[in-house]
Amino acid sequence: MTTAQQLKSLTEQKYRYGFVTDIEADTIPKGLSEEIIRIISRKKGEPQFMLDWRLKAYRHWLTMQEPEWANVTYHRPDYQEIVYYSAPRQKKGPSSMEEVDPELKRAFSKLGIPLEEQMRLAGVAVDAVFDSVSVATTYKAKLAEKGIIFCSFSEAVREHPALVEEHLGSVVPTTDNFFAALNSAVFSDGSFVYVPKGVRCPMELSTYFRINAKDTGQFERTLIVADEGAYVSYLEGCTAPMRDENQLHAAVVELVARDGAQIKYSTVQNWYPGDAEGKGGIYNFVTKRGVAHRKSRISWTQVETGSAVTWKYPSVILLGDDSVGEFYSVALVNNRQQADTGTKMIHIGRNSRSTIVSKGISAGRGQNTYRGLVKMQKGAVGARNHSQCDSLLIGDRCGAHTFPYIEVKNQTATVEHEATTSKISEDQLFYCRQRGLSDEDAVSMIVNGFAKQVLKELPMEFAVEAQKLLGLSLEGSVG
Amino acid sequence: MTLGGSVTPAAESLAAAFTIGPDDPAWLGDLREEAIAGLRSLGGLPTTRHEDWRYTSLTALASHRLERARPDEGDAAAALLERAGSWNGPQLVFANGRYRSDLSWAQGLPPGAVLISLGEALREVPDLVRPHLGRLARVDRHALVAANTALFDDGVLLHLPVAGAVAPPIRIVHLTSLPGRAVATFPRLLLVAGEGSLVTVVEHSISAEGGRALVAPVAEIVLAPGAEVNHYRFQEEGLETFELASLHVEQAAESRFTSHSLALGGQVARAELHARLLGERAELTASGLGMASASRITDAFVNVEHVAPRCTSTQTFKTVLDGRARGVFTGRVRVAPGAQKTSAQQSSSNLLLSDDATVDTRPQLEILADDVKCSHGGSVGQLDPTSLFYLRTRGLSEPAARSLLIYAFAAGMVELVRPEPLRARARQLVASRLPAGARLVEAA
Repeated sequence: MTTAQQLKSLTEQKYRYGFVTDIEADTIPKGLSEEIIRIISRKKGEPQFMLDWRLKAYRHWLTMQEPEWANVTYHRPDYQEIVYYSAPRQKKGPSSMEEVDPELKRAFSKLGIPLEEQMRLAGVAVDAVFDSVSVATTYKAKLAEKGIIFCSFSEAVREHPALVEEHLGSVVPTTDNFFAALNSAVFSDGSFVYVPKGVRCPMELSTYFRINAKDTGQFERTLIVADEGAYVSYLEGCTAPMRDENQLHAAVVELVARDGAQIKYSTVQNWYPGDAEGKGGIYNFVTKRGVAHRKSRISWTQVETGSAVTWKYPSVILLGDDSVGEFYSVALVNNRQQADTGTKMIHIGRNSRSTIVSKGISAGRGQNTYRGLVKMQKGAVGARNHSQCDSLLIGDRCGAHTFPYIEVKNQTATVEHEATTSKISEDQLFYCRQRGLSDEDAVSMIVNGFAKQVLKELPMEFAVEAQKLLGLSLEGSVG
Repeated sequence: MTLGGSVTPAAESLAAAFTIGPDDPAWLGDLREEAIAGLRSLGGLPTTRHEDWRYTSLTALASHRLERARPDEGDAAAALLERAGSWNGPQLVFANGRYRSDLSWAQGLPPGAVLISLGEALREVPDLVRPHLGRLARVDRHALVAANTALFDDGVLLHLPVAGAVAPPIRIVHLTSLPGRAVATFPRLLLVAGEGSLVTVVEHSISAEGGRALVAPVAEIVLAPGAEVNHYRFQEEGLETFELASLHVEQAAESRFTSHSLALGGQVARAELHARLLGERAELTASGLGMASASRITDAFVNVEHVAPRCTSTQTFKTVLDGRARGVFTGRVRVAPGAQKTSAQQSSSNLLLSDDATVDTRPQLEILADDVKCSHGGSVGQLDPTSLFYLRTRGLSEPAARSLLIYAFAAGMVELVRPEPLRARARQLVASRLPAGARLVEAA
């Protein structure tokens, strides 16, 4: 086979999470109005402040325009054709694993996250969000001993309204952007984490998101608060069934790292990317941001291999002195996928530091864009940033684009940015094949080597999965 | 003619000043009409809401009613010209946008070469002008190009039709004297370099202090296969002048183009370069040094399109910023599908000397071919305290040590100026902006 053929065969691999689970769902009518928002809020038994907050967001959303600056093209979703709430129907919430719908448990096993397995072996506490509602949260008791709250967002609103009211929207205000406003109006569930002062969370916390029902959008909201000196590592994974029409995923993630706290947030995003002709797939329009107070650290790690269109900029506001922000990203696009992703590091505190490592891989007709902002405010004395953006092109019909923005208002700040673009060369492949590796293994190895700097930031279990995903997503495309 | 909508006084007054010159051929009249329509449809002068102008505000200019600069026939121009230093080669001088034959001369050109004012060219050899004027600098995309095309009074035509012609370095000086009112001038250059020809052109702009002015030069440069053109822009405008220049280049196979700009004056100094590499193995080198203090802005904007395979482009830009100055760099490289074996590099280095200075830098890559080598780098920093300490231990005063380090940062860009009289002037000007600069010049 020629190199081109090998690349081709390797990138034409099928999406393996494209099954639909037949579960009875409690769904409300399509469309968006104040009435729908009231229904969502009522169904979730929310206190008044939540309803007011949602309505405020909705009213602001009505005045906003869908953003057009991203380097992506897609059919604008019709926001009246989306079902904003869909919950797996159950008599009442499960109090233990045994009560979880077996059909649901099977779905999660297919995804490779058997809840019990993870409880026993990996020691990972899982909060699984199916369509819009959190299904089961494992390992809760053990966490409760330490005073850690890890629950679904709805539960947090019921059980810890004060904490929610204090922090909700404090990092991503309802007026932040078009999709964040939409999310604020209609979000149905998500995860909530609170780690008290000085507590080191003893295990990795994990959420799995899945869009199952047809015509639904998923609008989850994650809020993580690490109190002074606390530490937490949080993982999220995402999959969806294969469907011809595009589904919208517009999530908001807010992180608050108080003085001396550390939050490590890892994502493996594998939403359905659409077929080879670009039909179907998820629109992944996500707002993620953290506020880092004095001497705290926020670290985003993402492996993005899915979604038809990705629009995502996990950011850190380095508010406190000596705070640290990190962004490690691997974004892979294949077939007709488009990704416009990157980060914003806003340095406000003295001696704040940030690191950006972005690895973009483009194959097929994929278009991959890194867009990032590093901003040094006037008070950011001695702040430092180092950014590195590398692109790898596989095939001659894809594109890799880099749009870094650097704004510096302080002379003592140091900012460095580097970017390179390269391809998998025939020499590299030839060398690997000469050593007895198959084409696929060779490409997978080269791609993994390219992404290694990011993958090593992932917790162990995820790193293994991410490596496999990179190999899989490229299958059928190499040369 | 008026502009509709919320157009600023500056753009409004430019549109009002629009008349078609009595000597303009009909086709140029049409082009000027099209240009003024372009200015109108683009909504007047750009604002920071345009992505390309995000960091460079023209608000301070927009509120002024601008006049077309009146001809300056007096000795003021000659006095300003003194500042440009001596020059032995061919030279064309323009005062307030009008050709000054008494200060210009063109000798030593190779056979067949045409170096005349645009006004003369339109009368004598319009067929050399018509195919190219307004072709690269599009009036429907860029408000300042539109304003220039609609309102330029004169300019330069340089045509080197003979294959392999080697021309001596040519200097074009734009002088703006300020009558105490806000004036606008629109210098224009059209350069067509034939196959294998070689030429160096220096555009030197100088304006008097003490008045607001808009100087908006547009240059169009066409390189035939194997041609080599070196273009220098040497800008020492007054501190209230807005110099908003754009250079539009098209390169055929194996041609070489270098653009180097030294922006040392101006309230807002912006130098744009738009280049299309249409033939294989074309090479482009763009570089520049911007120095600004007080609340001035220095802005370099580069847009390179790699259309053909095996082309090379290099961008190297530096700024030195003091006071509340702002330094802006936007470098865009677009590699079209099929432009394989492209090699493109961008680098932007910035030195901040004060707490209030700002740097905004955007090196951008858009790559649609897979076999390419593209990289960009950007850095922002201050003077290295260790180096300062070292120089102090060697007995240098604080200002002398700082000056030496700043000069060291800028020196590479100064030395890129090849024509000798100009390089000496560049050294002197850069040094004069440093606290202990006088001693540095003596030492050099």
